[in-house]
Amino acid sequence: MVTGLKKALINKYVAPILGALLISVGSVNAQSGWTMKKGEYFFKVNYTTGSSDKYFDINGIERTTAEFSQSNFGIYGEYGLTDKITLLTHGPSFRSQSFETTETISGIADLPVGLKYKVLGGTIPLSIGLVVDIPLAKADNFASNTEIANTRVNLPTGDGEWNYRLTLAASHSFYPVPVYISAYSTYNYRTEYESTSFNDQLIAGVEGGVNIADKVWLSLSIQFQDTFGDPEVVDFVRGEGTEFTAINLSATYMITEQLGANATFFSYNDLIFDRVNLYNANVLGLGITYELKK
Amino acid sequence: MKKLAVFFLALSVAFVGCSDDDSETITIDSSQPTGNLTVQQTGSFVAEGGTNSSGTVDIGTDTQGVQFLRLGSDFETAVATGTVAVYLSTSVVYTPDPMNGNPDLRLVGSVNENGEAFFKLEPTAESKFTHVILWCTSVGVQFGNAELN
Repeated sequence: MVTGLKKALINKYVAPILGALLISVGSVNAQSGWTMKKGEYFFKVNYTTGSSDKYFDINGIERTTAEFSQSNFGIYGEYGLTDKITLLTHGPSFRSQSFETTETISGIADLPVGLKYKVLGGTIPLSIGLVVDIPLAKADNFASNTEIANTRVNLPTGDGEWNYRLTLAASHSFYPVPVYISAYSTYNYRTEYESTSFNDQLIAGVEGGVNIADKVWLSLSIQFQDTFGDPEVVDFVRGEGTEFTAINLSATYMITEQLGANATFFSYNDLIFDRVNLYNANVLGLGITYELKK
Repeated sequence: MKKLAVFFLALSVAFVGCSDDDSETITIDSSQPTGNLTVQQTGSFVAEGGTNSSGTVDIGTDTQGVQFLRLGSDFETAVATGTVAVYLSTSVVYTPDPMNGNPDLRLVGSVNENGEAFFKLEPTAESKFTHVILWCTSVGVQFGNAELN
């Protein structure tokens, strides 16, 4: 039992926090210092949904607009290629979105894949990871207005650019007390789409979790995103200049030692960085997790 | 011999058909002004809604006396977001009142591209309209306004 608990401690925090009800794309993921051993894997099938008519523009001004809705269905996976290198994928994901005034646009989202390397083990494991966002999604995808003819709005399911996310993460288990904490920092190197260059971003956060009665994992994380420099004024669908602070609550009920049912609640706030260029939606998520530990 | 005569006759008809004709077909696009526009009112866009809206807008009449609204060649707004509607407005703020026929607004047209565009104003614009407003219809956000002077 203790061994199982210890193993569980090593991977619960890697479940993705997908709260990105930005009209832009960009999954927001918790990170940890732990990596998989060779042949181990973890994956999660996840559905998230949210909607809002409160949009914070590029100047951080809150505006009431037509209601925007978005849902995502996707996979998050980790696989231990070696005892030190873990393969990560934040997809494939399928996204549907619309304004209350438009038809729904659905399509595959961009695909972030990458590797995580174990730098240090021990009581404070440290990892470094590089994830590349492959722009698989159609970068311009116009939804027709259902009320007014010949009127449309661009609702792409991807931002049309390659992103390179470099993440440094550290964790600590308070074993035998079933509690852990992780902290991470990600530099998001953004490129360009159709000659429009995007500003790089810093994403960082901390997460703490606790296991209750060997059956339920509860975690709370806070994270923020900041933009380097002054972004150009570009169409607001590509996440340029998007900033926020957010919290994520997660509960996972272990149905078996390997299989879990997960629910999440994600919400933006202005605690560290004010909300900029996003729809201020609370995002609810449901998922199934499965892991193989050796 | 008869077949040869028919062939030459057909060939001659074809040549006649292809020859230059003094008459010229002129297509008149009623959505475009005829001749130069005599400007009556002009304004410059102020960006709103976190957009880059800018450029000039004019209201004037062409040589036929038809009134047009012209977005200048320097006109820009967030067209990558989608269709942007152009309204005449009695104020700086988009103020719909559909229950009463939107007395403070008049939809002029919409744009999907930056740059020069003309919109025929028929009937002519009432003097109560003091501003031109750029409105993202699907989202419901004002992208810019220009005061007419």
